[in-house]
Amino acid sequence: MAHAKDLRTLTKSVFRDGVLAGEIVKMINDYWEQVKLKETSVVKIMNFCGTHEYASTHYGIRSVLPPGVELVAGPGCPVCITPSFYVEAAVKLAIEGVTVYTYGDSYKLPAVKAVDGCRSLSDARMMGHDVRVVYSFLDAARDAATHKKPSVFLAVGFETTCPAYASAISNNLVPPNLTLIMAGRLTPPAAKYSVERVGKVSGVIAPGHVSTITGAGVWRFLPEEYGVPAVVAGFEPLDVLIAIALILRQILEGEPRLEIEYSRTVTWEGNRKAKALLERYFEVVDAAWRGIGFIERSGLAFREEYSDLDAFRVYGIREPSREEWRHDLLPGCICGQVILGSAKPSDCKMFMKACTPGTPYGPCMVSTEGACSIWARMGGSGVVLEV
Amino acid sequence: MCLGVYGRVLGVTGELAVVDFGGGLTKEVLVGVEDVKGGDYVVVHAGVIVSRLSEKDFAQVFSILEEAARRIGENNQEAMKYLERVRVRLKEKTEATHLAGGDVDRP
Repeated sequence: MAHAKDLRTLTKSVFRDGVLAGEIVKMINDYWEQVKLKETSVVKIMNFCGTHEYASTHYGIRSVLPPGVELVAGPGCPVCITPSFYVEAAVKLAIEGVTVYTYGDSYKLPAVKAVDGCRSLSDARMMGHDVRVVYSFLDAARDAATHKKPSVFLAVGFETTCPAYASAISNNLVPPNLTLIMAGRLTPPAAKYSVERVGKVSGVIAPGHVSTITGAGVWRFLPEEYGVPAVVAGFEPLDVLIAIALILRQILEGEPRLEIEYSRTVTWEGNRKAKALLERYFEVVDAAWRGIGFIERSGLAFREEYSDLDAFRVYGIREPSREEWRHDLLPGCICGQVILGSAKPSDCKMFMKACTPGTPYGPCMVSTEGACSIWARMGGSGVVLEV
Repeated sequence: MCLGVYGRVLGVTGELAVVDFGGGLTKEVLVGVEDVKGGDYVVVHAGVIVSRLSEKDFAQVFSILEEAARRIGENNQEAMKYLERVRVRLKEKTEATHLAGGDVDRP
């Protein structure tokens, strides 16, 4: 087993192996037969992360699960939960002549209010404004340094993405003409919100790449405070199947706890360097999540001493307070329920009618990791069951 | 969005590293973890190395299936046969990877 020459190939080879997957499915069925006799007729597992939803749907994992084991999507897609206000602000700045950089994921993200007929950055670019899609913040910083025009970066992301901003700033790679619309969000408060407000889930597949930064330890509250089994899992099909098996085993044993399945990259303490950078530049604040509302201590904002990097401060834009915040989904859109696991994408009347990956109406249809976009491109299956 | 891509570090200069993603694609990214060096396998997200990949935990697949074998096997012999099948499969996979992975055996 040890010292394979190429870990990438080995990972794909082992964690996508059909024979091994078959054995794990047998194990899941065996656990389920025992859980069914002992506990309950339905087990609802939330795959928190958009990439888990992608893996589950892309590899057809729902189709091999026993009928009572249900996988539901969670709020783990940062593009889906970026408040409409941030998109409107970015579009407005683009129209005013500022160069706006964005990840490809958020390029088509539709706002609730159109600004000068533009509902998204994609619309703004179509109207001739300077909107540029980049792979990374580093690419944006380098590009902005070449033209020296006023520029902003729509900085969406969870704990995985935000170290990119902090790292570039700390290495003096951000030119003075570039500022950030800081829309960073933290995942554990959202998981807490989901478990508290949206009804019982039997287990949570916790996000793997977020946990590479935070450390798996941040998910301990799930078993300890709420009695919900949690497994930090990777994104290959066997990772997801093993996580489901481990959750069923915990339910069977009646001992909810936190386990790391993705131990090839995730540790209990996380990435110390990245955490120190986040701590240095950002403070934790109450923040709005699109379709959900304000969640306490779930956002990152620049510390006062680095406020010259904050685009809202530089361009005099005031963020809505908790009292001023209004529901920011378009009429008829149920993305808020989809990301909290209480509805499936195909429950929406607009799914694949008025709302498609080509012309998204709701935020979950935009990113390749939005639940609606995944179901639209690869098909979903099963129903959301009551526990 | 939190998609991580596995790559192999070709070299590190200060806080920037060149990573080979396979298929002829290399990219300069920020080093987001401590003590990265050439030859390390890493997870890259949005232009930053967020984690290193360790190979010790491929045994995870075996250990979970071993656990299952103990539960599922009606008697020890049956469980042993099941485990042997899994062990052989993992060995085949690893050996195939050894053969296929010659091109990355650089210093």
